[in-house]
Amino acid sequence: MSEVLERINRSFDEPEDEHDEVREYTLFIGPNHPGIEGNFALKLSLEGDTIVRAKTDGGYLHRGFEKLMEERLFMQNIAIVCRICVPDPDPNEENYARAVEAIAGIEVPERAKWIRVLVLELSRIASHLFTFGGHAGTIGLYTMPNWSIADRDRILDLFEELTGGRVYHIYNMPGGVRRDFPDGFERRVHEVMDYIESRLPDYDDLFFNNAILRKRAEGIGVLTSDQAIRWGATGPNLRAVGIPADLRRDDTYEVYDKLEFDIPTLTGGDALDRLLVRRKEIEESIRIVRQVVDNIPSGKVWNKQPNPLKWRVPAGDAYVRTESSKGEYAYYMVSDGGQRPYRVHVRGASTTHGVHILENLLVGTRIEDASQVMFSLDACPPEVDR
Amino acid sequence: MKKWSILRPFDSLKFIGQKPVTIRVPFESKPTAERYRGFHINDLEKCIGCGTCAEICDNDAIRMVPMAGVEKETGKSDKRPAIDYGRCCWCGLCVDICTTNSLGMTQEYIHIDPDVNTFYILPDMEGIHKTEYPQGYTADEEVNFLDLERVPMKELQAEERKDSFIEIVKGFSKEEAQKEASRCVACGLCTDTCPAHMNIPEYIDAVWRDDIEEAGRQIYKNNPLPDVCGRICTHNCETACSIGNRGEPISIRWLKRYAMDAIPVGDYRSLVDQKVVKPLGKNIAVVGGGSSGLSAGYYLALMGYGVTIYEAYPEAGGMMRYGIPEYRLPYDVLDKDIRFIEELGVTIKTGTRVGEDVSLDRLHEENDAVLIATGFHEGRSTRTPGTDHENVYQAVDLLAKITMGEEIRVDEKIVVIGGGNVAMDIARSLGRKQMQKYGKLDVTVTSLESRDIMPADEEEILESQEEGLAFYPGRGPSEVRTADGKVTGLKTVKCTRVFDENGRFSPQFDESDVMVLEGSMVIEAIGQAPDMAYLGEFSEQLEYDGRRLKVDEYFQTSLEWLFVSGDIIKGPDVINGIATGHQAAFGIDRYLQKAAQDELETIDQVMELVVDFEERSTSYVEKALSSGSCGTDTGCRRMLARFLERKKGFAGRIRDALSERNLRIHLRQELGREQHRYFDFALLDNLPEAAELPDKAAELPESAEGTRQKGISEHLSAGYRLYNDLLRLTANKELEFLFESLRDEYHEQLRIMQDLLGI
Ligand SMILES: Cc1cc2nc3c(=O)[nH]c(=O)nc-3n(C[C@H](O)[C@H](O)[C@H](O)COP(=O)(O)OP(=O)(O)OC[C@H]3O[C@@H](n4cnc5c(N)ncnc54)[C@H](O)[C@@H]3O)c2cc1C
Ligand code: SF4
Ligand code: SF4
Repeated sequence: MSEVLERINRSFDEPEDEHDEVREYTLFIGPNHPGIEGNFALKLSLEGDTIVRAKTDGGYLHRGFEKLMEERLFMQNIAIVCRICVPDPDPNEENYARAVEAIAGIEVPERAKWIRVLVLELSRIASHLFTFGGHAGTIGLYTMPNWSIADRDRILDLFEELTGGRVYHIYNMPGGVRRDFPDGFERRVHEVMDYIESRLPDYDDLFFNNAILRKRAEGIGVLTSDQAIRWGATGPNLRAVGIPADLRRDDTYEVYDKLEFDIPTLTGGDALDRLLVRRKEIEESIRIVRQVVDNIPSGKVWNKQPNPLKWRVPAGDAYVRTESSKGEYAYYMVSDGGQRPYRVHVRGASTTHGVHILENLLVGTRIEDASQVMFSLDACPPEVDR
Repeated sequence: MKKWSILRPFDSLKFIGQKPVTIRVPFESKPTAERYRGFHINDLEKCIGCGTCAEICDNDAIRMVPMAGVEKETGKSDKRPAIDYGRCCWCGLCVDICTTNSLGMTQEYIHIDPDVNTFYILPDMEGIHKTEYPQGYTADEEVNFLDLERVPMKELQAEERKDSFIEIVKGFSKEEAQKEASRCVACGLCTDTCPAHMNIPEYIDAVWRDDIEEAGRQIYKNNPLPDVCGRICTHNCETACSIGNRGEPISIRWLKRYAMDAIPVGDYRSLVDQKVVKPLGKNIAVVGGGSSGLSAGYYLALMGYGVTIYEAYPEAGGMMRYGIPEYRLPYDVLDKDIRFIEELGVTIKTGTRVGEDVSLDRLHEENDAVLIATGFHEGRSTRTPGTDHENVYQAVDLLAKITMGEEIRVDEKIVVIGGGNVAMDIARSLGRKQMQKYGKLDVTVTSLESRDIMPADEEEILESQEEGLAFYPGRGPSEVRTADGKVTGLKTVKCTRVFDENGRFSPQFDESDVMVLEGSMVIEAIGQAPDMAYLGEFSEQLEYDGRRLKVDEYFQTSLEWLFVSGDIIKGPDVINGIATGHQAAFGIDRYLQKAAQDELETIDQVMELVVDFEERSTSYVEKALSSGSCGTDTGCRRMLARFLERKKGFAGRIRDALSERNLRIHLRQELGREQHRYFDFALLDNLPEAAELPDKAAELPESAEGTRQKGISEHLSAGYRLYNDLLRLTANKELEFLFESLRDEYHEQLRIMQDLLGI
């Protein structure tokens, strides 16, 4: 017995710095965890509960889209690009179509442009609803995901009606869109918009004005405007530091210049403000969607393109960008004049948010907030991996 | 927003007792959207098995599979699409491109089964579970992936053309041709229908890629008269074109014409795919220099035979020159094709009528085989009273005279009997002559067939009408009227039916409905018959099938040295002439090769054959590889490359197996020390003379003979494995023809070797 005691006592006597090696320890979180929309891993170094270093570890969703596109005909690719981001697939379709159109000099019918805006905004709402659910999950509020994801289904119902698919729409394509509105679609869009709008106060009660969220999210993962610009933040993450940057305004496309909407900003730059900016954006998107269905001109929805099996896109390149729910989403496409893209580079908005910014923001954060910081950046791993 | 607090979430308690938004199925069913992209359905009656759906599928989810009870027919394949839901992503691109609108999707989207095979289906109209689910995503006319409209062809207007023999059709420009070519979905149904099985999708693709040389190469593979066919082919292919189901078929014929017009004749030589293999020292006589004789001559020359074509007319071309008018097929275009055939070494003796200037018997004696391709040149008469009058003519006679520039009678009013293309040709030619002579045109065309069943091409009839010809269809000639010894007109009566219930020719008339068509010249254009008097005494030795000569699939008659092709056996059109000529050439080669093989006596001769065969097939395969016959099918390319690799050593291995040294080693190894001592190697010293091998083998001690045979048969079985590879390769459409010949050869050679060695 005394031998044991002696050993313990001896251990107290040892000089402190001999413990240095174990002060910092490493923890893996992911690739399956509630911090992000899809599989992604983090390697955290912690001291006590505080993160001192974070290293992202992606690749779990790498399906080689950029390479796959080089192997497929221009028209075939419309079926795969949407898969690059599950919650917000439409900016991919939009970018792909617009890149091809830019290189090949294809005109798009006016009506199709309005429909594209409608689709993009519905997708934005759906994606934000998804994010609210996810974010709430990271702090243990599990009613919100049940609500918001169920409500997102209403939008998927609209997509199903319009495009034939709920999640992957494969609808936007070079030259326009694949189908016109089904009968009575405008009315049902209004109904769903009214419904979503009516739900926002409920969300406020349950979630946005819930003290748990406020206390947990405020001051967490703060991004200064300086950092935001330096590290390449875009979209809601940038607008949450007070910078009203939005491609729909700054580099407008389709018919956004004909529509009225505001660009909400907040200044806190923390997890809470990023979330609240998205909450406000839903209202703006609803405004846009209503304007579209009320003012859309009639006409055809697609300009005939050549037989897709024998279609060469002239040599050239194009960089096109879309304001996705996550931020600046861009495609750089090169055609060598062949039947397949020579190269398509996907600039996922989440690449900067989900890797660089996240690695920086996590430093100094407590372990229990790591997931929340991740989700507040709304990064979509397949956009990083593509 | 209201101020936040810990109590705020409790406001949500108001939802207690309300219907949860998250629960739907199975408590509340939501109707699926009308255009839902669920499991596929396919109207199998409508579907033509074109495989376009499989082509567009970005996931390779569609396989075209043979379907029981479905047979190949014009414009339809015997396959139907089967869908693998392990791969399908429900994009519906297949639906948007379907050439018949047969493919659609349903609103059904749930399938659960532990058996993975149930996820692979051949959809019909009942859907995956045979539940007749409502139709979902369907094709939309507005968003139609296919290009359904033809690029219009520029032509001379009726006023510009009706007084001259200048070619009517002007041909595509490069841009027009590329645009037209881009409409093609490369289903290949046209190839199946073309009598010559031309590589149509391949040359269309080459036109589209602006690789004119490749287009020419593909065209020449199965057609040595492409300039001609690019103008006047009966284009069965266009009837089969899958685009024709929803729109206008691709202008295949004009694309061929475009490609050939774009290649200078001097470049044809570089296009010919197969090189002329070494001269075989054998000669073939071809009687008749029409499409079929020329085609056979071309392919025989390529195979290394010496070919002489005997042609009665002053120039070669047959009906292509002496029948088809110049405004449809200019002579210089025909000459372009013929000149190239001559360049390959085919001799054409024009102005030589077999049966008169030279006898068939002599041709038989002087040559290893004879092909007759003399066509139909005797105009058939209606036998109407009065047709023996000198001013009643046969269309083909007049057309030939026009070609030869002979003076012909052209009256101011002419009546033509016949509703087919020959009638149109003579009527329009005479109309032109009238315009030149009188400045006006008066030609009346009458036929038994009513307008809707007139056998002439619709465009021919329409163009004739544009030029001002008068038509009286549905009338039968009953008498050529004369006065003072001169023809005054043709009396006709109404024809009430042409065919009986069984579709047999059996016209009936209403004698009370009479009409006299005025004219001082009557032309009969109701058909032609062969004149085969030159057969002489052979005609009795030959066997017949009805009126036609009896032939096997290689167009060999019952006299084994005599082959037949062209109109006299199948047709009648140019492309059938070409196809049968090609096939007959093949038959002649087969016949002569076999004769050569029968003469094989020594192993040297066997080896020569093997080496020759190896050289030939290697060059075939190399060509196939380099000319891209496999397209993007990497499996096919790999297979070919492997075949090539293994094949290269094949002759060597056989040679080795049969070499003295090898046999010695074999024997030494196999016999073992004891027996080896007794074995007399002197026996093998005279090798390699394979003819003696079996005898020598008989002298070998028991076990040595066994071993020797084993060694050889092992090598032969390697050959059989290659042969099996070939069999698998023939599944590839493009290579089918090529490998059929290779396979035959292999088979034959193996058999001979086995015979020779007594194994
Ligand atoms: C007016 C007319 C228009 C036609 N239009 C078309 C068309 O648009 N498209 C189409 O595809 N087909 C057309 N055809 C049919 C086509 O021309 C024939 O089917 C084709 O030419 C048949 O080829 P062949 O080689 O069998 O016979 P042919 O072309 O008739 O050639 C036979 C040759 O043998 C020669 N010959 C005959 N007897 C002897 C002998 N004893 N000794 C030596 N030589 C001999 C003849 O002089 C002739 O040159 C047309 C036919 C005619 C009559
Ligand atoms: S594209 Fe249509 S017609 Fe052609 S095979 Fe497919 S389902 Fe049949
Ligand atoms: S729906 Fe799309 S993935 Fe499925 S079989 Fe058709 S083309 Fe292929």
